[in-house]
Amino acid sequence: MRTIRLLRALFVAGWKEALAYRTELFVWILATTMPLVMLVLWRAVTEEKTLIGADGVPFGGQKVVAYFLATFLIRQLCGSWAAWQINQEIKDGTLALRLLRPVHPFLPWATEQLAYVPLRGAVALAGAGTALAVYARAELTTHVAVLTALPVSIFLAFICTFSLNLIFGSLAFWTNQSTKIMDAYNAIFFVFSGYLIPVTLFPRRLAEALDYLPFRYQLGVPVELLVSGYDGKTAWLLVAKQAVFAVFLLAGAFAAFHRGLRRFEAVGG
Amino acid sequence: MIVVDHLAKRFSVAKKSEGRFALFRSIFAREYATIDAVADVSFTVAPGERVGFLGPNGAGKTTTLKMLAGLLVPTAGTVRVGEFRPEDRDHAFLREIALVLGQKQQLIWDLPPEETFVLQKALFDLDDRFYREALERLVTLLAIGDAMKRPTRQLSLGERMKCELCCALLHGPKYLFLDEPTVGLDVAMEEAVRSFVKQYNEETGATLLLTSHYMADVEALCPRIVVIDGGRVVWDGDREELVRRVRPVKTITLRFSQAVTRSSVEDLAAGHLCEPADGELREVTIEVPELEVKERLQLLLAALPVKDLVVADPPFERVLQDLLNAPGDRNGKEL
Repeated sequence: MRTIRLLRALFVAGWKEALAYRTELFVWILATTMPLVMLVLWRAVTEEKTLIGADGVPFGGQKVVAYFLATFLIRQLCGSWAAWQINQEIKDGTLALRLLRPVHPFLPWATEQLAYVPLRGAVALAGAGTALAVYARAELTTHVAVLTALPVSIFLAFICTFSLNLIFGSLAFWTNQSTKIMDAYNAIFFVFSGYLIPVTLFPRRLAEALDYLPFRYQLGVPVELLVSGYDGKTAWLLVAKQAVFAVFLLAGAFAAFHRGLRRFEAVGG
Repeated sequence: MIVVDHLAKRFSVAKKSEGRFALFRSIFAREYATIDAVADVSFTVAPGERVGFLGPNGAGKTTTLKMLAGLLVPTAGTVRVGEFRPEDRDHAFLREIALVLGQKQQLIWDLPPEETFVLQKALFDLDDRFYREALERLVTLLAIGDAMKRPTRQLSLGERMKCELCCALLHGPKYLFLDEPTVGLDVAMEEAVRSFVKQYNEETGATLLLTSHYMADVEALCPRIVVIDGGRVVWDGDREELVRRVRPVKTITLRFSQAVTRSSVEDLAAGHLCEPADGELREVTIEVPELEVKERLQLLLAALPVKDLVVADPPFERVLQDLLNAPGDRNGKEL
């Protein structure tokens, strides 16, 4: 009961803050429209030449539209910027105030990020959701088992991304350049997560290797569940792999944060 | 009870290298220097006591407070606050303490303070009745009825500080660590914060440890002071006793009904005239050994056209300065 009250209060405070920062929020959404650029680009490419995905299914036409609109939409639901926030709080010492509360700081950080999801989701749904329904409805999954797995996968994608943000943010205990490291990671993430290039278009060996790396589980998997026509078994198998990564990354985040905490200098007044 | 025993905290700080290729070298082999922010600090604070924690900049006051609040892990020594070891950051411990950092804020910037208060209620799992009563009491004591409904960013510094105090005390902490709580406030607001803190201590029996650069805070609130310098305790004892031992004088301030010559005062002051000025004087301050106050006053009153006079302890800043400049062992218990 206490946990529910706490989560509710954290979420409400985060939601009110999100409303106060709504202009910044729209700017952030504008900064994540790369999939829409990729949509235009890949449409042009696939009009010239039919591409065949690793699953043997052609990737072109409506599928391109569905894939990149879904990518844009799902990125709004599972994105996180915790690394920048943690880095700032460690550097200016305001983390100290979080540490004085009898709640692990991961929880407020998570709810602060999640509180932005409804607003971001609503904006993205109004645009990308409508476009998906109008131009690419046929590409969207209707399989009940897959549809059931989808919200779980989106949540796990958030956990994976959030945990990686916690890990990179915690590097600020050791280095002043932790956000630069996060930027470098994101550059790789954009390539291998399915954000810019669908994983199915990678050479088979590389696509298989991505199974053992976190990128696809941060974004590609929920997008694929929505538009790739997977059956229930395949979908839940991917979600299970995603869950393993989520647990592993969250454990890594705890380890990095608590190890770093011993070095915390709580600088400033 | 707070027990601090041979506490030390050492920081490692990157050294800035000199020379043409220093930046390049520092990428591969960065040099570090160690700084003993707190070298060896021991003291105890009884439940309900109000203790001023003083020292020059960089003496280790805030570092010690942060170790007491569990924010920093000591390099050596031990700290116990009640039954807890702060560095364990036990949730039960965090419910018993509050640390107010005058230059940091926990209020949510774009929302009214009352939103942060509600969040604080959930974070500390306060029941409705306790929260209502605590909030009502604090809002009345601090007079922040209006301020708590306006966005934090629109509040004055004083209003914000009072709301910070309210937020920090909502859960009824038994141990209150205040670091420069009146920094940047105007005189009236300083006084309001001081009287609030004193009242809170008297009503709840909370233990108070205060650091401040404003000696008026310490004089108003703390009968006992601990002074640290260079990370070590140089005085631990009664504030008035410190004044008696380090600067055993009284200051006599005289205002005259008509200007007097400097030489006429100088003879009577017997070399204790403070802030010497040339020409004619309408006001002077004289420092006189405690035992000579009566005799000296009689002489001054008889010889000069005194309109008004004040006898007081010497300024505490000066006492502290004398203590810090004094050589040798200055510990209050052994001096």
